[in-house]
Amino acid sequence: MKKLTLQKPQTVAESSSSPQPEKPFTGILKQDMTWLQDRYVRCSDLIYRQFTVGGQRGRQAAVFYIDGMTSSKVVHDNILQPLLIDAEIAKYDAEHEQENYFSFVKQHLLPAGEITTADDLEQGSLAMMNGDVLLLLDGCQQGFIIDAKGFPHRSIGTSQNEMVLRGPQEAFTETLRVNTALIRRRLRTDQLKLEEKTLGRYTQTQVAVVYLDGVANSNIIAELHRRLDNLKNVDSILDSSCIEQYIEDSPFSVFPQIQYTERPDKVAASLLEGRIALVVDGSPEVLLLPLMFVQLLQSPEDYYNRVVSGTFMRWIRYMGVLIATTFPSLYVAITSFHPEMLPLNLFLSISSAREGVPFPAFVEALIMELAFELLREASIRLPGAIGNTIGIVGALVIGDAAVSAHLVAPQMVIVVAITAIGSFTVPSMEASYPIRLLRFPLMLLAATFGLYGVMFGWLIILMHLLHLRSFGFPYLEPLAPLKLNELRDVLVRAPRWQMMIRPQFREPNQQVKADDGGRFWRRRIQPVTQRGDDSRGQ
Amino acid sequence: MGSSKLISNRELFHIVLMLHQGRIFWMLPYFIVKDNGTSGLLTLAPGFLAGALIIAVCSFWGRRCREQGFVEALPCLLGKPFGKFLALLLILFYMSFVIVCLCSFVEMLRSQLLEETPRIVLLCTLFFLVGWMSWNGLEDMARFAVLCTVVTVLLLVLVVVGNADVFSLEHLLPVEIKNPDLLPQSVFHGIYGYGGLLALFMIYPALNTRKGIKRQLWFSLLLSTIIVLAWLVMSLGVFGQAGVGTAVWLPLELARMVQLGPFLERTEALFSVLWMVIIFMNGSLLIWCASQGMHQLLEQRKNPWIHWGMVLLLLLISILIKNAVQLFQLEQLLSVLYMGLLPVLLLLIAAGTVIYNKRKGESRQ
Repeated sequence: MKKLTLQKPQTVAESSSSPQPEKPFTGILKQDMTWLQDRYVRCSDLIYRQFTVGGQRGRQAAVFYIDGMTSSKVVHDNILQPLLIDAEIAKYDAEHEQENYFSFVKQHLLPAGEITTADDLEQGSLAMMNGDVLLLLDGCQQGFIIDAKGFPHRSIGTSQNEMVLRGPQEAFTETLRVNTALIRRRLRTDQLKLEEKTLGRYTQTQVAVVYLDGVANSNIIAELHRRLDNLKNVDSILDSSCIEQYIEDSPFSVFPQIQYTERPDKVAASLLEGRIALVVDGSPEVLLLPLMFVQLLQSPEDYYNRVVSGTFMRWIRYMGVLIATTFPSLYVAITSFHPEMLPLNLFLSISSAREGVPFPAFVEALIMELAFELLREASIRLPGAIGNTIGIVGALVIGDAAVSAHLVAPQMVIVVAITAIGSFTVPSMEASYPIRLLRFPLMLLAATFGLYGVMFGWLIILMHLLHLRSFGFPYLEPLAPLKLNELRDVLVRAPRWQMMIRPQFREPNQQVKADDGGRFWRRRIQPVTQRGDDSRGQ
Repeated sequence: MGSSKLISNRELFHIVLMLHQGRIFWMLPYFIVKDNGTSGLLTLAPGFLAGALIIAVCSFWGRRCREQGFVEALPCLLGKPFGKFLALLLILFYMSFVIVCLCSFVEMLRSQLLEETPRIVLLCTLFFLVGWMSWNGLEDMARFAVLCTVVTVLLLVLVVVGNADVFSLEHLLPVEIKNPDLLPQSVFHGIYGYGGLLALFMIYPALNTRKGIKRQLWFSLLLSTIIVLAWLVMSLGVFGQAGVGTAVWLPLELARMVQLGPFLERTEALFSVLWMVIIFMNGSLLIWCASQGMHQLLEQRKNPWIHWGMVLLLLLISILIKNAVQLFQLEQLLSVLYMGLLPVLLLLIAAGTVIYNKRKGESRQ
């Protein structure tokens, strides 16, 4: 495994924007309140309330929170009620003199589950942005950050882009904590680590680096942290795709070097392989890294189905990818440059069908492929039933009309249809884009140089893939470099108990069996004749 | 120019296979059989011995001079002026191999598949490809070589199986030396066919471990010789001595006779483009060797001007070769030069290594 070398973070990123200055608490409630009110001037969703803790002779306090981000019920039940009403019962008096007022309130008056201390107003202000409540006490140079998050969020639904027939149907949502909980539910171990960071100057997006301690490669974790630290001062992180574009090795490559998924089971399985997940608040897609090309063609369903079925489906997918990328260019090359390869009957059939078509094979293919891409893009934008209808009607009508008008040959419609079906077999969206894109230059090369051009194009693609890295790992592993023992999860879907002993992303020295003793029960079965059954002899 | 110490023994095994396979099939059968008939097969033996000698000397040198690249080491072994001169000769030799390899493929393509495509266009595309691949480094090429082996074996199996029904053992007889005067020429060609193995001197320092490497190299040499022999026997068995002695692009003729069921026939186009993979590998490795050698000679690190300048130079020279006849003449000339250079080179390297080690031992004492 190639060792990643840690480097010092770039000074350009550090110097490009300075961190916001700290604003310590003055201890005078009015001043601190004024500061916050000035800070949030023209923010109509800021709610604040000043009150007295524990009756007329109590101290002044104030709560600040953002309407819509905070649960009003929590604010009322866990903060205001205890401080306003219940505080009368637990009076701060001579008995508690040894305890300062701040800790007295924390220990005796606030029943909330999660309370942290704010050391300065900036920290408190940031916490409010996350849906927490900031409680200020007169005379105290610290504040309370009380967990009261209650912003609206989507409930857990089914995966829209990674559907399976068999297996879990849950998908991630836009809420960080919900997503981490979905992962935690599947990996109930204290080795599952979640390291949170805040990225983006204006968005202050919470990001969690999730990995299995002792399983994930520490070099990759360190490298990931190094790359993420550079994002603290970028303007915004609105989605996981923003982070992906910043941290991937080759952003101009058509091939993704970081995978994304909506499925918690896929994340759990990836973490067990030693990969790292990046959960981003506000995004239902979780990033998985490092990535190898073959992983883009694997579906969770392969592992939920039987060995033979899983292997068969996998090979169908590989064929689909090959067809989607190469079929149109092969058609153009053979019909234009190498018709002698076709048997006479097939050649005559193709020739007669192309009779009257004014365009060469390449132009035909280009027209049909572009039309199909337009239809595909249009059907995504249109809602529900309309989109489906447009797709079907458009394909049928346009295809039929084009053939009737002798603009394209009927064979071309079949070629395009088979190509499209092949592209639909790709389980991940990020893998389908390069496949769709690469068709076009391959067709152009086929039109120019025939089969030589197709091979030329494929060699360029292969060279690029060989050179590509994902966090230091070769992109084409385990094909190049060839690792025979890891091919059992590439060429076939090996049984679980034969899966690789040491997955490639794990720590190099870790010797852990993926499935230790899962089939040992078979050794304990005794043959019938040895059970002492006497009935057969009688 | 690529990374060091990142080639495994297994990858080197595949590289040696590729170095040997690439261009050897296109013209070797014609050269060795046209003048000497079936006995031309025997010229593989001296070729095998030459290959074995290269491996032996390379291992001998590699074990004793671990820290340096080969061109860097030559001045230390043989003195600065003579060492640099010999290094330059070697680099020129690599360059000539590249030209022969790529030009022969382009000639084949033009004559058989793409008659109307200008030669210069094919040359430019091919040189661009190999130049880019060699610029990416040895690590990528080594990984690609492993995948290429699959293609080689697949093609061989395809051709053997596809022509099994027309193969006749009678075509291999009689085994006789028709023209003893022309035998040395065939021997030169046979030995020249193994000339690609000289690239081992440049690749050897990039190995991440030397343990078990000799066994891998011997096995690779043996296997590639068996593959070449299989091709030659197949060619002779199908076409006979007269056919092999007149057909220039023999593997293509063999592929032409293969029919993939009722669906595809005349598959020589498919064959040749698959073969392109091997030619591409061959060319990339040899350009890398030449470029790496030039960088070491000029004491430069990865310099795009040197690398792409060399690729451009090779392209320009290739453009000067107008047809297959000139290419064959060039090959004949190079085979004679190679025969003169190889024993001298190997002897000097072996002697220089011994003297260098002795001096190193004395200076330590």
